[in-house]
Amino acid sequence: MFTDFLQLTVAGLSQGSVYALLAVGLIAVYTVRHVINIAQGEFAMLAGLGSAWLTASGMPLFLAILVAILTVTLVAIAMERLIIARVKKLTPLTSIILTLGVSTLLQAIMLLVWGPEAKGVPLFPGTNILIGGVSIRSQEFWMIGALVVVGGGIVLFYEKSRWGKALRACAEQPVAARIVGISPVAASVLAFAIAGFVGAVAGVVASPIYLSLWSGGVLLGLKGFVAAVLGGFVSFRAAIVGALLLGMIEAYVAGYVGSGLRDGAAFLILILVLVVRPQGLVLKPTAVRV
Amino acid sequence: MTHAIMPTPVEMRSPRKRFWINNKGTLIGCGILVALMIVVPFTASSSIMNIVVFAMIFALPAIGLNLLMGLAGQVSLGQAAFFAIGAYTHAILLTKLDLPGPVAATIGVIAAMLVALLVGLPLMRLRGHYLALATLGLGFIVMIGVREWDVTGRTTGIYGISRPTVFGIPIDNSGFFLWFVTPFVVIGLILALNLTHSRAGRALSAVNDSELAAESLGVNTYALRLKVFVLSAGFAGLGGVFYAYQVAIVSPATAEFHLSVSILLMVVIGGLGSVWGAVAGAFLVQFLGEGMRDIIPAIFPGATGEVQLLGYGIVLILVILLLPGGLHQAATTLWQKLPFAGKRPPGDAHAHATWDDTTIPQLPMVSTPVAAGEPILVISGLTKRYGGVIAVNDVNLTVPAGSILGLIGPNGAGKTTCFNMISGALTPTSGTVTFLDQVISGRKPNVAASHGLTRTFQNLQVFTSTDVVGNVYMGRYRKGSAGVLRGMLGLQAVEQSAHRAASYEILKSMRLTDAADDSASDLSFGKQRIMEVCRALAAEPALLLLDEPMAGLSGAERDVMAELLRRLRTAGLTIVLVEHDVAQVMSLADHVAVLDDGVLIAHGDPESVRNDPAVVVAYLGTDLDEAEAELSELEEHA
Amino acid sequence: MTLIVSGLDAGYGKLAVLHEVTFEVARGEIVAVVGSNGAGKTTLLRAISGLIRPTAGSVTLEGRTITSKPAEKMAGYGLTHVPENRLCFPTLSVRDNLMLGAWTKKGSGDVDSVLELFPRLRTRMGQAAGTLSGGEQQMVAIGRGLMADPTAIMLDEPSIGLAPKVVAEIMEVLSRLCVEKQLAVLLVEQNVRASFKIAHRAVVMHRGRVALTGTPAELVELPEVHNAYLGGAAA
Repeated sequence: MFTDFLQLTVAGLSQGSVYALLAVGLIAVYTVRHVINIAQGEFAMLAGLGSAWLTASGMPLFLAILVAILTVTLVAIAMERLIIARVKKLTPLTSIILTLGVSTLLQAIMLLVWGPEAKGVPLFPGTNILIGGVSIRSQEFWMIGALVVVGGGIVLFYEKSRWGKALRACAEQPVAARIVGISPVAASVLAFAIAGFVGAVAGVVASPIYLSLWSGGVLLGLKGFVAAVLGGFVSFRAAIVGALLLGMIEAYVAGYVGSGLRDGAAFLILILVLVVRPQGLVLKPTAVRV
Repeated sequence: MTHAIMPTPVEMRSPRKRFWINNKGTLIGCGILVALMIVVPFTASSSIMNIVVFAMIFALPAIGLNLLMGLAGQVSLGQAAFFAIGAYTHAILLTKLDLPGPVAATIGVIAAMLVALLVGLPLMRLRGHYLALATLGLGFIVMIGVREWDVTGRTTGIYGISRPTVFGIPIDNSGFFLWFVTPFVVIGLILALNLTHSRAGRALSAVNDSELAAESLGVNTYALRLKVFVLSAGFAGLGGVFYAYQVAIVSPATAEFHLSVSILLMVVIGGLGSVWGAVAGAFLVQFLGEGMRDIIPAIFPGATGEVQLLGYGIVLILVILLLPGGLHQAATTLWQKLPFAGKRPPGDAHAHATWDDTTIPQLPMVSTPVAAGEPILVISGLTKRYGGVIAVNDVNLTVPAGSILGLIGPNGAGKTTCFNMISGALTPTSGTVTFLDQVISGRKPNVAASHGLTRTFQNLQVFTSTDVVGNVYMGRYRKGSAGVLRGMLGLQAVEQSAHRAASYEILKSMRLTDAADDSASDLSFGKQRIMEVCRALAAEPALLLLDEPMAGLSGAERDVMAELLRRLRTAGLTIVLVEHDVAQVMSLADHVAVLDDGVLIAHGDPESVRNDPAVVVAYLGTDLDEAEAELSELEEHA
Repeated sequence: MTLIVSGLDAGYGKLAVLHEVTFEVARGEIVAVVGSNGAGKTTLLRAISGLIRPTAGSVTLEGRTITSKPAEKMAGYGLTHVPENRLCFPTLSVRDNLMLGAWTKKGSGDVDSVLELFPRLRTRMGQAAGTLSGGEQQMVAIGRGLMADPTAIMLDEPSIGLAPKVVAEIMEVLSRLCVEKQLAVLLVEQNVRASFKIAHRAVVMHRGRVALTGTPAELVELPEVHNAYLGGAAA
């Protein structure tokens, strides 16, 4: 009974880690550009499908993953330079339609290149563990580990590094950031690169268990969005906590209520949060908190 | 001086002629559409027929989404949700309860609208991005819901939907079906077009240009947007009903996200805000999709599934980058390049310039609910705190009717904050603002507006998508009463022409008649400012708040404005203005209030305020003793 | 002459604010720009620092034409702008705010000399800038501007919302700074008295034009200055 609960919790935490990484990517872009990147989920699927294909063609696992992550990061930068940067006045309407267009285009490309079936990257090396009746798969360690390392790394980047602080400056006071000499173009490119990078990591690390599908990015991106909303779209930490909570709630719903209703949980949470407490889990509504 | 021959104003012709002139475009367009739909079944191949039928079916949710996105300015990524609700409800009622077609269909549409109302009540308060993603989530909720619920047939869905019969004739082929759908699409078109040109439609258009200004004229943005949201869902639901009939199966795929994307694409291709564009977009997207499904497997062998998404994605991006106004923009640009396009003859602009330059021909009407001298606006203990900073500190003022109050003070003194609290744009931390014995503080600006309080804006809030007379016409909003329903049914011609005439009259008083038909954004800054004042006056206010009305005006324009304000005051209008040009305020105002650091430091007639040492200190930054010494020195020199 | 503004026209879309503004600032000189609101003072600084594009005229800094160059390049050229409302980065620490000021110097900035000017900040280095008082935030904003080791520095109404004592403190620092580092200082202020105390020359703006120039001593006697603010006090 209790082991079931723990089992579900572990599954929830690992799945939530993926959502958390996506939320980080969404917030990174939004704080600098005020664009909600609807294509965020596609970054994950692209990396997953790409690395699955590379490993199937014979490339060693870690090299394939590296190449995939790098490629998707470049795709994200290309999206910023070739498409987002070209619009002079980005209103919520135009930015939604634009990123929706990119999302649709990426989905179609993935469908044409890799077909309609789901594909998975081989399981990462490691052994499954059994603790007190609860089995934790090694891949789930990898997923949670990815959040800790990559997600944590990004948070540290924003807190300690020169460019991280510059990005926060751009988000908090865009005018002063320019005056001080921070190039808005460089900041925008960096933000998208981060989004591409974390999205790719999330996609690659989740692929062995949850598989990558050409159309899977929409749902995944949406879950990331729910987590970002829980973070008030400003706080990485709150978004990560929210993502883990979301993952766990989904796992409980799937386990105790019905697996088909699993995805519904995210949307109900979304609508509840938007209506009742739009700033999410953020306690003190300050300008920008990373 | 020769006068160009002025065409007879529309309002003065016979009702039948008037109807034709006002609705020419719609009637011709519908005529062409109907003619095409009659002809197509006889001439087109079966695959083309198929495309056309689906285009007409999807034209309905496209029109609905266009109203939401173009008119109400809100993005919905979940139009398919309402489409599916309409389809499912209709299908279930037909197959499981054996209800007659029209009844089931009506209930289907109502179901979609009810869900939209339920969902819209909380969601319509959300802004831009959040609403878009909430509707996206809604789409998924509906899809998951129908997939998991027995009543909706789970993954199988509802099948075996029988063909409709109209007057005993079964609609069993595509041609008949096309003729079956067309009247509904045409009616939908007409209703949507009517709405766009109606009072509600113009109000929404104004909100898109400037929500602030629209609300200050009495527009209840939330209520209007909610109504359009529900309406848009109704259109989608009706589309779903026809879809159910045509395909005879309704499955969870009907609520799929990709369907919402394709409907969005129809609206974007056609051009946001253009109803005809939405219809054209529906056709284009169907043809595009079909074309892609043919071409792509040829280029990429083995490609299956939703390959048309490639085209959809590329087109979405390209339209926004290259032609954001869609087909509508392309069509209007082309039309204007044509030699016979209806351009006004060049001499027209000056045909009306016969007025004597110094007098104001006719004063706009004002309302005087309170006798002159009696308090009309009472500000009590008004305070605004931002965290630890007190922007406005316990301000108390009473404004007598029929007078001009000038609110002055150095930069950062809190004048604009105060102003915004009076007009309802900002909620006070404490204190009240009472207008005509109604507490208006803390309530949305449209509440104050409906009682007769309007304002102008320091950063001009011009409605750029309409012409000058259109802007002033929006000022008449609170004097009108036609809502969304009457708007759709086109039952407001009389009211509209009366208001239009009134707008022209007001433009006359500020000598802007020659610019009446110009696009508002083409006017010089000074004239835009004057137009904003005209717009506020069009509401026949009892109190007018002016935020820096003189800024940006030339000397002559300032004189005209000042003259107008004086005459309005004499006619009984109460005016409160914020101005930096202290000299101007001193010469114009009956009373002056001075704010410094959020505190009211002086209040009285101009002369005594001007000589108040505290005021001098506030402006010139000297300290009190020095200021007094300086003043007496200056007086000696004078 | 370090900073030369010549025939500058600028505005926001339809609204033309500045008309043919011309003046100069030399190194080691403080030039005050005063005028009532709506006179175009903030617009002037924005036009010089590249936040808005001038429609006519030119701006040169030490011989280099900087008209219409993007704002993010200005710090590199040696021009710093301390904006209206200070605009500190609220969640970043005082140290981080200052270090970002040295962005164009790739992070090697002289924090110590800034702390010597504003010793009050020493105890606040780790504090989030948004939690500081108005006066302290102004110090951070000025310090941030100095970190780029500029040739010219422009300040937009630094005295707003500050107590007279703090204003005096800041003005004193500006004066010292100007002499020690031989900066060209362009000081926009509404507080005429405080700015005139330290300025070598002053420019009075009215409705977007330069109405008067001269030394503070010359200008403060003129009734026009009084008029520009209060209108007709002395006819």
